[in-house]
Amino acid sequence: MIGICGNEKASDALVTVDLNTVGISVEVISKLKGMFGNLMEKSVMEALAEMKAENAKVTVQDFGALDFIIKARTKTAVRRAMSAAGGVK
Amino acid sequence: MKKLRRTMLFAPASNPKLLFNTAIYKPDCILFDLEDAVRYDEKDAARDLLVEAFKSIDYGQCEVFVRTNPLRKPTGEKAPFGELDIRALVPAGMRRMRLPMCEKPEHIEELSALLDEVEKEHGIEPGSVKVQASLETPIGVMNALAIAQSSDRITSISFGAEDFTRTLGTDRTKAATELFYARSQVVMAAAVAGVDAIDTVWADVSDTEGFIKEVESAKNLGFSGKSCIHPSQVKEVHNIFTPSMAEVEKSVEILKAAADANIQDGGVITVKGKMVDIPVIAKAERIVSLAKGAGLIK
Repeated sequence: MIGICGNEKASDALVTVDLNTVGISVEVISKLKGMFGNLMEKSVMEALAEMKAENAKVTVQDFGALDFIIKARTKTAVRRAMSAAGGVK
Repeated sequence: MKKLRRTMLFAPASNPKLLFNTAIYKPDCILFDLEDAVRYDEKDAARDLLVEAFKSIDYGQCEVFVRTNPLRKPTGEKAPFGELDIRALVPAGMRRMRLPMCEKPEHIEELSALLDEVEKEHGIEPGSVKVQASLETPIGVMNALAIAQSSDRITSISFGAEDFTRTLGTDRTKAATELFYARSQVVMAAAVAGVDAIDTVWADVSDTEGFIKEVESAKNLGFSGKSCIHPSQVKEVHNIFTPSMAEVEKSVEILKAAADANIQDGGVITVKGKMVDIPVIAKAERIVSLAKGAGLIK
Protein backbone atom coordinates (compact mmCIF):
# COMPACT_ATOMS: atom_id res chain seq x y z
CA MET A 1 0.00 0.00 0.00
CA ILE A 2 2.83 2.34 -0.85
CA GLY A 3 2.66 4.85 -3.69
CA ILE A 4 5.53 6.96 -5.00
CA CYS A 5 5.46 9.88 -7.42
CA GLY A 6 7.86 12.57 -8.60
CA ASN A 7 11.56 12.94 -9.26
CA GLU A 8 14.75 14.05 -7.55
CA LYS A 9 15.06 16.96 -9.97
CA ALA A 10 15.02 20.73 -9.60
CA SER A 11 11.52 22.21 -9.23
CA ASP A 12 10.12 18.78 -8.42
CA ALA A 13 9.48 16.65 -5.35
CA LEU A 14 9.54 12.95 -4.64
CA VAL A 15 6.52 12.01 -2.57
CA THR A 16 6.04 8.66 -0.86
CA VAL A 17 2.67 7.70 0.61
CA ASP A 18 2.13 4.69 2.86
CA LEU A 19 -1.53 3.98 3.53
CA ASN A 20 -0.76 1.10 5.90
CA THR A 21 -0.89 3.30 8.97
CA VAL A 22 -3.31 4.93 11.39
CA GLY A 23 -3.93 8.65 11.21
CA ILE A 24 -1.97 11.19 9.19
CA SER A 25 1.69 12.09 9.48
CA VAL A 26 3.73 14.28 7.14
CA GLU A 27 7.50 14.53 6.97
CA VAL A 28 9.06 17.22 4.81
CA ILE A 29 12.71 16.97 3.81
CA SER A 30 13.77 20.23 2.20
CA LYS A 31 16.49 22.85 2.32
CA LEU A 32 13.65 25.33 2.43
CA LYS A 33 11.72 23.63 5.21
CA GLY A 34 12.31 26.51 7.64
CA MET A 35 10.76 29.01 5.25
CA PHE A 36 8.13 26.98 3.44
CA GLY A 37 7.67 23.78 5.43
CA ASN A 38 4.22 24.82 6.66
CA LEU A 39 3.05 25.59 3.13
CA MET A 40 4.39 22.25 1.88
CA GLU A 41 2.51 20.44 4.63
CA LYS A 42 -0.62 22.41 3.77
CA SER A 43 -0.38 21.26 0.14
CA VAL A 44 -0.06 17.66 1.30
CA MET A 45 -3.03 17.97 3.66
CA GLU A 46 -5.18 19.50 0.90
CA ALA A 47 -4.29 16.63 -1.42
CA LEU A 48 -5.10 14.02 1.23
CA ALA A 49 -8.45 15.69 1.95
CA GLU A 50 -9.35 15.77 -1.75
CA MET A 51 -8.40 12.11 -2.05
CA LYS A 52 -10.34 11.28 1.13
CA ALA A 53 -7.25 9.59 2.59
CA GLU A 54 -7.68 9.44 6.38
CA ASN A 55 -4.72 7.18 7.14
CA ALA A 56 -1.46 8.08 5.44
CA LYS A 57 2.21 8.47 6.23
CA VAL A 58 3.58 10.99 3.73
CA THR A 59 7.21 11.80 3.07
CA VAL A 60 8.04 14.75 0.82
CA GLN A 61 11.59 15.06 -0.50
CA ASP A 62 11.53 18.55 -1.92
CA PHE A 63 13.84 19.89 -4.61
CA GLY A 64 12.35 23.35 -4.93
CA ALA A 65 8.84 22.39 -6.01
CA LEU A 66 6.03 24.93 -6.02
CA ASP A 67 2.99 24.18 -3.86
CA PHE A 68 0.83 22.97 -6.73
CA ILE A 69 3.49 20.47 -7.74
CA ILE A 70 3.70 18.99 -4.23
CA LYS A 71 -0.08 18.73 -4.18
CA ALA A 72 -0.17 17.00 -7.56
CA ARG A 73 2.64 14.59 -6.64
CA THR A 74 0.84 13.71 -3.38
CA LYS A 75 -2.46 13.04 -5.15
CA THR A 76 -0.79 10.75 -7.67
CA ALA A 77 1.15 8.91 -4.95
CA VAL A 78 -2.07 8.38 -2.96
CA ARG A 79 -3.85 7.05 -6.05
CA ARG A 80 -0.95 4.73 -6.79
CA ALA A 81 -0.96 3.47 -3.18
CA MET A 82 -4.72 2.88 -3.38
CA SER A 83 -4.29 1.09 -6.68
CA ALA A 84 -1.54 -1.09 -5.20
CA ALA A 85 -3.99 -2.00 -2.44
CA GLY A 86 -6.60 -2.95 -5.03
CA GLY A 87 -8.67 0.20 -4.50
CA VAL A 88 -9.10 3.23 -6.71
CA LYS A 89 -7.33 3.13 -10.07
CA MET B 1 -9.97 41.44 -33.60
CA LYS B 2 -8.75 38.04 -34.68
CA LYS B 3 -7.27 35.82 -31.98
CA LEU B 4 -3.76 35.03 -33.15
CA ARG B 5 -2.57 31.45 -33.23
CA ARG B 6 0.78 32.01 -34.91
CA THR B 7 2.61 29.73 -32.50
CA MET B 8 1.56 26.69 -30.48
CA LEU B 9 4.51 25.79 -28.26
CA PHE B 10 4.57 22.16 -27.15
CA ALA B 11 5.46 21.39 -23.52
CA PRO B 12 5.29 17.90 -22.02
CA ALA B 13 2.88 18.07 -19.07
CA SER B 14 5.04 15.57 -17.19
CA ASN B 15 7.75 18.22 -16.64
CA PRO B 16 6.73 20.40 -13.67
CA LYS B 17 9.05 23.26 -14.59
CA LEU B 18 7.52 23.65 -18.04
CA LEU B 19 4.08 24.10 -16.54
CA PHE B 20 5.07 27.47 -15.10
CA ASN B 21 7.87 28.72 -17.32
CA THR B 22 6.68 28.02 -20.88
CA ALA B 23 4.60 31.22 -20.95
CA ILE B 24 7.72 33.40 -20.56
CA TYR B 25 8.58 32.69 -24.22
CA LYS B 26 5.31 34.41 -25.14
CA PRO B 27 3.90 32.00 -27.69
CA ASP B 28 0.36 32.81 -28.78
CA CYS B 29 -0.65 29.36 -27.51
CA ILE B 30 0.88 26.77 -25.21
CA LEU B 31 0.14 23.14 -25.97
CA PHE B 32 0.61 20.99 -22.88
CA ASP B 33 1.06 17.45 -24.04
CA LEU B 34 -0.35 14.41 -22.29
CA GLU B 35 -0.01 12.17 -25.34
CA ASP B 36 3.21 11.22 -27.15
CA ALA B 37 5.61 13.15 -24.91
CA VAL B 38 4.47 11.37 -21.74
CA ARG B 39 5.52 7.85 -20.80
CA TYR B 40 2.71 5.33 -20.35
CA ASP B 41 3.47 4.89 -16.63
CA GLU B 42 3.54 8.65 -16.05
CA LYS B 43 0.18 9.50 -17.64
CA ASP B 44 -1.55 9.72 -14.25
CA ALA B 45 1.14 11.96 -12.76
CA ALA B 46 1.19 14.30 -15.77
CA ARG B 47 -2.59 14.63 -15.64
CA ASP B 48 -2.51 15.48 -11.92
CA LEU B 49 0.23 18.07 -12.49
CA LEU B 50 -1.80 19.73 -15.21
CA VAL B 51 -4.98 19.74 -13.12
CA GLU B 52 -3.20 21.53 -10.27
CA ALA B 53 -1.46 23.89 -12.70
CA PHE B 54 -4.81 24.95 -14.15
CA LYS B 55 -6.09 25.65 -10.63
CA SER B 56 -3.02 27.67 -9.64
CA ILE B 57 -1.50 29.48 -12.62
CA ASP B 58 -2.74 32.51 -14.52
CA TYR B 59 -1.37 32.14 -18.06
CA GLY B 60 -2.43 35.66 -18.99
CA GLN B 61 -2.83 36.30 -22.70
CA CYS B 62 -1.52 32.85 -23.64
CA GLU B 63 -4.20 30.56 -25.00
CA VAL B 64 -3.62 27.22 -23.28
CA PHE B 65 -4.40 24.00 -25.11
CA VAL B 66 -4.00 20.44 -23.89
CA ARG B 67 -3.22 17.61 -26.25
CA THR B 68 -5.14 14.89 -24.45
CA ASN B 69 -4.74 11.24 -25.15
CA PRO B 70 -7.07 9.93 -27.86
CA LEU B 71 -10.47 8.49 -27.02
CA ARG B 72 -9.99 5.58 -29.43
CA LYS B 73 -7.13 3.30 -30.41
CA PRO B 74 -6.42 2.94 -34.15
CA THR B 75 -8.31 -0.36 -33.98
CA GLY B 76 -11.45 1.48 -32.84
CA GLU B 77 -11.35 0.14 -29.28
CA LYS B 78 -11.64 2.59 -26.41
CA ALA B 79 -8.23 4.01 -25.50
CA PRO B 80 -7.21 3.98 -21.83
CA PHE B 81 -6.50 7.63 -20.95
CA GLY B 82 -8.45 10.06 -23.16
CA GLU B 83 -11.70 10.07 -21.21
CA LEU B 84 -9.85 10.26 -17.85
CA ASP B 85 -7.92 13.28 -19.13
CA ILE B 86 -11.10 15.11 -20.10
CA ARG B 87 -13.05 14.24 -16.94
CA ALA B 88 -10.18 15.54 -14.78
CA LEU B 89 -9.13 18.60 -16.79
CA VAL B 90 -12.40 20.25 -17.77
CA PRO B 91 -13.48 20.86 -14.14
CA ALA B 92 -9.96 22.16 -13.42
CA GLY B 93 -10.26 24.81 -16.13
CA MET B 94 -9.23 23.33 -19.48
CA ARG B 95 -11.12 25.21 -22.20
CA ARG B 96 -8.99 24.40 -25.26
CA MET B 97 -7.85 20.97 -26.33
CA ARG B 98 -6.26 19.21 -29.27
CA LEU B 99 -7.67 15.80 -30.11
CA PRO B 100 -4.87 13.69 -31.62
CA MET B 101 -5.26 11.25 -34.49
CA CYS B 102 -8.67 12.57 -35.52
CA GLU B 103 -9.79 10.68 -38.61
CA LYS B 104 -13.52 11.21 -39.05
CA PRO B 105 -16.38 13.43 -37.86
CA GLU B 106 -17.57 10.63 -35.58
CA HIS B 107 -14.43 11.14 -33.46
CA ILE B 108 -15.44 14.76 -32.85
CA GLU B 109 -19.07 13.81 -32.25
CA GLU B 110 -18.00 11.29 -29.60
CA LEU B 111 -15.71 13.87 -27.98
CA SER B 112 -18.39 16.54 -28.11
CA ALA B 113 -20.91 14.24 -26.41
CA LEU B 114 -18.41 13.56 -23.62
CA LEU B 115 -17.69 17.28 -23.24
CA ASP B 116 -21.47 18.00 -23.14
CA GLU B 117 -21.76 15.52 -20.28
CA VAL B 118 -18.77 16.83 -18.30
CA GLU B 119 -19.77 20.48 -18.75
CA LYS B 120 -23.29 19.71 -17.54
CA GLU B 121 -22.03 17.68 -14.57
CA HIS B 122 -19.87 20.59 -13.37
CA GLY B 123 -22.18 23.50 -14.20
CA ILE B 124 -19.94 24.79 -16.98
CA GLU B 125 -21.57 26.70 -19.82
CA PRO B 126 -22.36 24.28 -22.65
CA GLY B 127 -19.91 24.48 -25.52
CA SER B 128 -17.22 26.21 -23.43
CA VAL B 129 -14.52 23.69 -24.30
CA LYS B 130 -13.19 24.34 -27.79
CA VAL B 131 -11.43 21.73 -29.86
CA GLN B 132 -8.59 21.59 -32.33
CA ALA B 133 -8.75 18.42 -34.40
CA SER B 134 -5.33 17.02 -35.25
CA LEU B 135 -5.19 15.42 -38.68
CA GLU B 136 -2.27 13.01 -38.77
CA THR B 137 -3.25 10.27 -41.20
CA PRO B 138 -4.28 10.13 -44.86
CA ILE B 139 -7.88 9.37 -43.89
CA GLY B 140 -7.90 12.27 -41.43
CA VAL B 141 -6.63 14.63 -44.12
CA MET B 142 -9.14 13.31 -46.67
CA ASN B 143 -11.94 13.97 -44.13
CA ALA B 144 -10.58 17.40 -43.17
CA LEU B 145 -13.61 19.41 -44.26
CA ALA B 146 -16.16 17.06 -42.68
CA ILE B 147 -14.16 17.12 -39.44
CA ALA B 148 -13.75 20.91 -39.47
CA GLN B 149 -17.52 21.32 -39.94
CA SER B 150 -18.57 18.57 -37.52
CA SER B 151 -19.09 20.72 -34.41
CA ASP B 152 -19.31 24.32 -33.24
CA ARG B 153 -16.57 23.39 -30.79
CA ILE B 154 -14.01 23.19 -33.59
CA THR B 155 -11.97 26.39 -33.74
CA SER B 156 -8.99 25.00 -35.63
CA ILE B 157 -7.53 21.97 -37.33
CA SER B 158 -3.87 21.03 -37.24
CA PHE B 159 -1.67 18.92 -39.42
CA GLY B 160 0.76 16.34 -38.02
CA ALA B 161 3.40 15.31 -40.55
CA GLU B 162 5.28 12.67 -38.56
CA ASP B 163 2.36 10.27 -38.16
CA PHE B 164 1.07 11.29 -41.59
CA THR B 165 4.23 10.17 -43.39
CA ARG B 166 4.41 7.04 -41.23
CA THR B 167 0.88 6.00 -42.13
CA LEU B 168 1.34 7.05 -45.75
CA GLY B 169 4.35 4.77 -45.94
CA THR B 170 6.93 7.36 -46.84
CA ASP B 171 9.64 9.45 -45.21
CA ARG B 172 9.52 13.09 -44.29
CA THR B 173 11.96 15.18 -46.31
CA LYS B 174 13.08 18.77 -45.90
CA ALA B 175 11.76 19.56 -49.38
CA ALA B 176 8.36 18.42 -48.03
CA THR B 177 6.95 17.52 -51.45
CA GLU B 178 5.30 14.49 -49.82
CA LEU B 179 3.28 16.90 -47.64
CA PHE B 180 2.21 19.45 -50.24
CA TYR B 181 -1.14 17.90 -51.13
CA ALA B 182 -2.07 17.20 -47.51
CA ARG B 183 -1.11 20.67 -46.34
CA SER B 184 -3.13 22.25 -49.10
CA GLN B 185 -6.11 20.06 -48.28
CA VAL B 186 -5.97 21.05 -44.59
CA VAL B 187 -5.74 24.76 -45.40
CA MET B 188 -8.59 24.58 -47.92
CA ALA B 189 -10.83 22.73 -45.45
CA ALA B 190 -10.06 25.26 -42.71
CA ALA B 191 -10.84 28.17 -45.03
CA VAL B 192 -14.18 26.66 -46.07
CA ALA B 193 -15.12 25.88 -42.45
CA GLY B 194 -13.94 29.27 -41.20
CA VAL B 195 -11.45 27.90 -38.68
CA ASP B 196 -7.70 28.23 -38.20
CA ALA B 197 -5.20 25.83 -39.75
CA ILE B 198 -2.05 25.05 -37.76
CA ASP B 199 0.95 23.52 -39.49
CA THR B 200 3.04 20.61 -38.27
CA VAL B 201 6.22 20.78 -36.17
CA TRP B 202 9.76 21.11 -37.52
CA ALA B 203 11.82 18.57 -35.62
CA ASP B 204 15.39 19.59 -36.53
CA VAL B 205 15.90 22.41 -34.04
CA SER B 206 19.50 22.93 -35.20
CA ASP B 207 18.43 23.73 -38.78
CA THR B 208 17.13 27.28 -38.42
CA GLU B 209 17.46 28.04 -42.12
CA GLY B 210 15.32 25.04 -43.07
CA PHE B 211 12.82 25.96 -40.38
CA ILE B 212 12.43 29.51 -41.67
CA LYS B 213 11.86 28.24 -45.22
CA GLU B 214 9.20 25.86 -43.97
CA VAL B 215 7.43 28.55 -41.93
CA GLU B 216 7.41 30.88 -44.95
CA SER B 217 5.98 28.07 -47.03
CA ALA B 218 3.28 27.38 -44.42
CA LYS B 219 2.31 31.04 -44.33
CA ASN B 220 2.14 31.25 -48.11
CA LEU B 221 -0.05 28.15 -48.28
CA GLY B 222 -2.53 29.83 -45.92
CA PHE B 223 -1.83 28.36 -42.49
CA SER B 224 -2.66 30.53 -39.47
CA GLY B 225 0.33 29.34 -37.49
CA LYS B 226 2.72 26.57 -36.66
CA SER B 227 3.27 24.09 -33.87
CA CYS B 228 6.67 24.61 -32.23
CA ILE B 229 8.76 22.19 -30.22
CA HIS B 230 11.41 24.62 -28.96
CA PRO B 231 11.17 28.14 -27.53
CA SER B 232 13.73 29.39 -30.05
CA GLN B 233 11.21 28.72 -32.83
CA VAL B 234 8.60 31.10 -31.43
CA LYS B 235 10.33 34.32 -32.42
CA GLU B 236 11.04 33.10 -35.96
CA VAL B 237 7.40 32.13 -36.52
CA HIS B 238 6.14 35.42 -35.11
CA ASN B 239 8.48 37.36 -37.39
CA ILE B 240 7.12 35.59 -40.45
CA PHE B 241 3.44 35.47 -39.53
CA THR B 242 3.26 39.09 -38.32
CA PRO B 243 2.74 41.69 -41.07
CA SER B 244 5.48 44.29 -41.52
CA MET B 245 4.76 47.90 -40.59
CA ALA B 246 4.96 48.79 -44.30
CA GLU B 247 2.21 46.26 -45.05
CA VAL B 248 0.15 47.56 -42.14
CA GLU B 249 0.49 51.20 -43.17
CA LYS B 250 -0.45 50.35 -46.75
CA SER B 251 -3.48 48.39 -45.55
CA VAL B 252 -4.64 51.19 -43.28
CA GLU B 253 -4.35 53.58 -46.22
CA ILE B 254 -6.39 51.25 -48.45
CA LEU B 255 -9.14 50.89 -45.83
CA LYS B 256 -9.33 54.65 -45.31
CA ALA B 257 -9.51 55.31 -49.06
CA ALA B 258 -12.16 52.59 -49.48
CA ALA B 259 -14.23 54.03 -46.64
CA ASP B 260 -13.92 57.58 -48.03
CA ALA B 261 -15.01 56.35 -51.48
CA ASN B 262 -17.75 54.16 -49.93
CA ILE B 263 -16.78 51.10 -51.99
CA GLN B 264 -16.81 48.46 -49.22
CA ASP B 265 -19.80 46.78 -50.87
CA GLY B 266 -18.69 47.21 -54.45
CA GLY B 267 -16.81 49.51 -56.77
CA VAL B 268 -13.23 50.21 -57.71
CA ILE B 269 -10.76 52.98 -56.91
CA THR B 270 -7.02 53.36 -57.25
CA VAL B 271 -4.65 53.97 -54.36
CA LYS B 272 -1.15 55.05 -55.38
CA GLY B 273 -1.82 53.79 -58.89
CA LYS B 274 -3.01 50.34 -57.85
CA MET B 275 -6.52 48.99 -58.20
CA VAL B 276 -8.48 48.54 -54.99
CA ASP B 277 -11.68 46.49 -54.97
CA ILE B 278 -13.45 44.14 -52.54
CA PRO B 279 -10.78 41.35 -52.47
CA VAL B 280 -8.03 43.92 -51.89
CA ILE B 281 -10.08 45.52 -49.12
CA ALA B 282 -10.65 42.11 -47.51
CA LYS B 283 -6.90 41.38 -47.55
CA ALA B 284 -6.19 44.80 -46.04
CA GLU B 285 -8.74 44.10 -43.30
CA ARG B 286 -7.02 40.78 -42.54
CA ILE B 287 -3.62 42.44 -42.25
CA VAL B 288 -4.96 45.16 -39.97
CA SER B 289 -6.67 42.52 -37.81
CA LEU B 290 -3.42 40.54 -37.55
CA ALA B 291 -1.52 43.74 -36.69
CA LYS B 292 -3.99 44.57 -33.93
CA GLY B 293 -3.76 41.02 -32.60
CA ALA B 294 0.02 41.26 -32.55
CA GLY B 295 -0.11 44.61 -30.77
CA LEU B 296 1.46 46.54 -33.68
CA ILE B 297 -1.44 49.00 -33.78
CA LYS B 298 -4.48 49.69 -31.61
